[in-house]
Amino acid sequence: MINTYGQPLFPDIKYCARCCMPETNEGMQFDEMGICQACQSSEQKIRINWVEREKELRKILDYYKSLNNEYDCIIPISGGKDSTFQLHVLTKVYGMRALAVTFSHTWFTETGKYNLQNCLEKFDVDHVMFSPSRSLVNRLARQSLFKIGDACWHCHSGVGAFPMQTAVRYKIPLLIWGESIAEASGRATHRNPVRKFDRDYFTQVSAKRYPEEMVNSEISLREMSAFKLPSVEDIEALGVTGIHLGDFIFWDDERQMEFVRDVYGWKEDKVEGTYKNYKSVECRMAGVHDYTKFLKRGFGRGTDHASQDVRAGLLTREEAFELAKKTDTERPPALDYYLSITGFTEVEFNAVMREHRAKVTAGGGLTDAAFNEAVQAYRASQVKP
Amino acid sequence: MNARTPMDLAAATATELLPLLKSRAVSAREVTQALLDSIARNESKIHAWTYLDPELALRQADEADRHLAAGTGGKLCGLPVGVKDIFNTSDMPTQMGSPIFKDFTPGNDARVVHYLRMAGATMLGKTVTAEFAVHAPGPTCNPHHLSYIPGTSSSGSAAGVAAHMVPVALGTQTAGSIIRPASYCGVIGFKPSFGLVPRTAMLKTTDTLDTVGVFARNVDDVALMFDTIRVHGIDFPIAHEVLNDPARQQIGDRPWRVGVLRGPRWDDAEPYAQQALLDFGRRLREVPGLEVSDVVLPDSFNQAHAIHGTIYDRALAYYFKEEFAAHTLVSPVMYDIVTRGNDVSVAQYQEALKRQTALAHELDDFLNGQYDIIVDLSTGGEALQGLESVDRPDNCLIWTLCGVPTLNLPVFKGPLDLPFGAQIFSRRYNDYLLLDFARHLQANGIIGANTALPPFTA
Ligand SMILES: [Zn+2]
Ligand SMILES: [Zn+2]
Repeated sequence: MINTYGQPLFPDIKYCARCCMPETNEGMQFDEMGICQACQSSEQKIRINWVEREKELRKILDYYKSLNNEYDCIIPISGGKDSTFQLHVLTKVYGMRALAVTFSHTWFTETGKYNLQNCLEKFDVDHVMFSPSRSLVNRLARQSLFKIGDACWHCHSGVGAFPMQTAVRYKIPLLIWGESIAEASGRATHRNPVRKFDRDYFTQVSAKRYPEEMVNSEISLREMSAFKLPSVEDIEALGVTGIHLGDFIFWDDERQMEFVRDVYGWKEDKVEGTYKNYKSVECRMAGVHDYTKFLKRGFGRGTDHASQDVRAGLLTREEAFELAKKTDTERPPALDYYLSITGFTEVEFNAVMREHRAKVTAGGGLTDAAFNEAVQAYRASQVKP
Repeated sequence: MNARTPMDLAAATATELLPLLKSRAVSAREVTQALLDSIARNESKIHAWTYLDPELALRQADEADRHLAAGTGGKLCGLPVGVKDIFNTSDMPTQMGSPIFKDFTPGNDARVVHYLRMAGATMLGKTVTAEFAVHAPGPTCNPHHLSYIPGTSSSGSAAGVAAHMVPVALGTQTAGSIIRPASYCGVIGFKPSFGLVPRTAMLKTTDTLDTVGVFARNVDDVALMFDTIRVHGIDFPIAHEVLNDPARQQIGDRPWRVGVLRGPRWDDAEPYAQQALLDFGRRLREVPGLEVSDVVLPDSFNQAHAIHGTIYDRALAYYFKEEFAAHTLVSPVMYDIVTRGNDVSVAQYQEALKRQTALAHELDDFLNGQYDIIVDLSTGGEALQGLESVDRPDNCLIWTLCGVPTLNLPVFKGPLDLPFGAQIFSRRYNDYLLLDFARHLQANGIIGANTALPPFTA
C-alpha cells in the first residue's frame, strides 16, 4: 500500500502551500506562493500597530458611552470561549455597561449551559435570551440541510438577526462580536478588513438564506420572527454599528481560551469533529455541522484547527494533515440525534449532501467518485488489525 | 546560597533564586535591582539590551512582591527574564533589530511572554537581536572578550545570561541562532523540538524552521522555562502523547546510548575543536551509565545545507517583501538573501520542503532504537574576532531542519581561553530525555550546577 502519511486526503485538490486549507473553502484565494489569506493575515498581524487600533477601539467605545443610553453596547454571547473573553475585555477592561444577548440554538450541551451561566455570574451583566420552539428548530434543521447543506440555518441566522432586533428594541446601537473574519475564515485579511454590517453582510457571512426562503409547507412565515433582520429604516434610524474586537486587538484565540479557562473557570470538553476541546463546546450538534462541511467541501473542523496549529508553529504540515484526516472523516455520533429530530434516513442525508458537494466542487477536482474513493481508502488504512 | 550580596544575586540561577523569593528571604525588588546594577556596570561595554526601562522592571518586581506576600505568586514569581526583541511585548517596543521598526509598539504580548507573565515572571527588558533575527549582527559584544562575536541572532539574550545581567532569557533558532551564541558566550542554550512552543505574536522568518528556545546557566532553569513556555494538555494531542510517553522520555535501567558525531561540517571545524570533541567523547566513556560510540550520518545529510538554504532564502524573500521594498533601511546581507530568495522558484521551494520532511524522517529512523543522544560540536571553535565576522560553517542548521531538540553544553575552552560548546541532541519530541541526560552529566560533574562564569571584568 502507498504510504500516505501526512498527505492531504484528496490529492487532486489544491491546498494552501503552508497550512491545510483546500481550495474548496468558501472565498479561498491563494497568492503567488500558493498561500491562503488566513496564513497571510497571520503574518500581517505582527506588522500591525495594535496600539493605534486599540485607540480607535477606545474612541468608538467612548463615543457610545457618552450617549448615556441604558446600555452602552450589546454583546452577543453563546457561552463559547469568545463570549467570556468579550465580556472580560468589555466590562473589566473598558468598563462598558453591556447587555448580553443570546440566541439559543436549543442544542446546548451541559458544558455549554454551565459556561453560559458561569460568565453571566462572573460578569454580573443583564441578559436576554431567545429560544425558538423545539418543533420549529427540528423542522428548520431539516429544511436547512436542503437549503444550505448544514443543519444549523436557524443558528447562523438567529445569532445575526436576534441581537440586531434587540438593538433596535432596546435602542442600543453598538454590537460587539469577537473574532475578526480575517482570522481563520480566509475571507478577508487584516489589511482588507470588512467593517460593514448591513442585511446582506449577515446573510452572506453566516445565514446564506433569508428567512422567506426557508418557508415551505411545514414552516410558515409568521414562525420566522426571530430570524428576520430589522428593516433598513430601523437600522439606519438608530445608526446600528457592529464591530469585531479582533479587528482592534491582537487575537490569539487559543491563548484567550486558556486565559478564560484558568482565570474565569470556563470549561473545555470533547467536541466531535476536531481534536481541540474548546470550539463549539456549547453545541451538541457541532459534529454534524462539521461533518456536513466535510461532505460538502472535503474538509471539516479538524482541518481548520490543524491549519491554525501549523501557523502557530505547533505542528508540521504533514502532522496537521494526519490529524485533520482523522477527525474530519469520522461519522459523528450526534448524527443519530440529527436524523431522529429531522426524520431523515442516513441514506437520504447522504444523498442531500452529495448534491451539495456536486455544486460546491463543480470543476474543483472533487468528483463523487474521487471523494468516496479517497475516504474509503483512508478509512481502510486506519483499521487496526 | 548563603551570602546574598547583590553580586551573588546577579550570579544566581533561577533555581537558586525562586526558593529565596518564595520564602521571602529576598524580595523580587532586590533581585531585579541587583540585575539592574549589574547591567548598569557592564552594559556600556557589552550592549546586550535594546530596550531597558528600570522603573518598569521594578514596578513589575513590586507587583511580584505583592503576590509573593499574599502567597498568590505563580511558579516563576519574581523571576526576571530577558526577552529577545522579536517577541511582542505590550509594555515595551518591539524593534526586531531593524530601523524600520524603531520604537514600534505592537501593543500585545507574544504567547510565550504571556505564559511567563501568568507564571509571575517579570520581563526585565528586550535583548539585542540580529536584524529580523537573520544575519546582520546587532551591537552586542562577547562578554568574555569585547572584540569577539557573541554569535547571532539571539546575541543579546546569550550575552546577558553569560554576563550575569539576567538568569534566563528567550531566544529563537532558524539555523543556529540559539546554539551558536550559547556556545560562544559559554551558557546553556536549548532549542526544543519543533512544534512544542507557540510562535504567536512574534516575528516569523521561516515557517518550517523558526523555533523558540531559552538560555540559562543551569539545566534545571532550562527545564523550568521550557515547562512554562511550551503547550500543555490534550488540545495538542501529538505533543501531549509523546511528552507523556515514558518510553520516549525515560531511559529505564539500561545505559544511555550516546553517539559522538563527526558531522557533515566536521572538516570546517578548527583542529583544536575536533580534538576537544573527541576528548569529550573519551571523557563520556568514563561516565557511569553511558555506552559511547562513534557516529557517521548517512550521505543524504550532506544535502541538508542546500535544502535549508533554499527554504530559508525563499521564505525570507516572501515574508520580508514589504521591508525589501523599502530597501534603504534593509542591511546589505538581508538584501542579498532576499534577492537570492526571489530567484528560487515556487517549485524549487516546494521540492526543498519535501526534502526537509524526508530528511527529518531519515534522522528519526536513524536515531530510533540506536541512539538516545548524539554529541556534536556546537560551533567549529571559539568566537571569532571582529563583530562583523561570519561564523564558521557548522551542523547547527541540520538539527533545526530536522526539528530535533538540541542543547548547548558549555564545556570547552579554545586557545584564547574563550568558551565554546558541545551540543547534544535527541529524537524529535524526546525533549525531556535530552534534559535528563544533561542532568546526568551534571550529576557526574561533566557540567557544573551553575555554569556562571567568573563575574564579568573585561
Ligand atoms: Zn494557509
Ligand atoms: Zn450549530
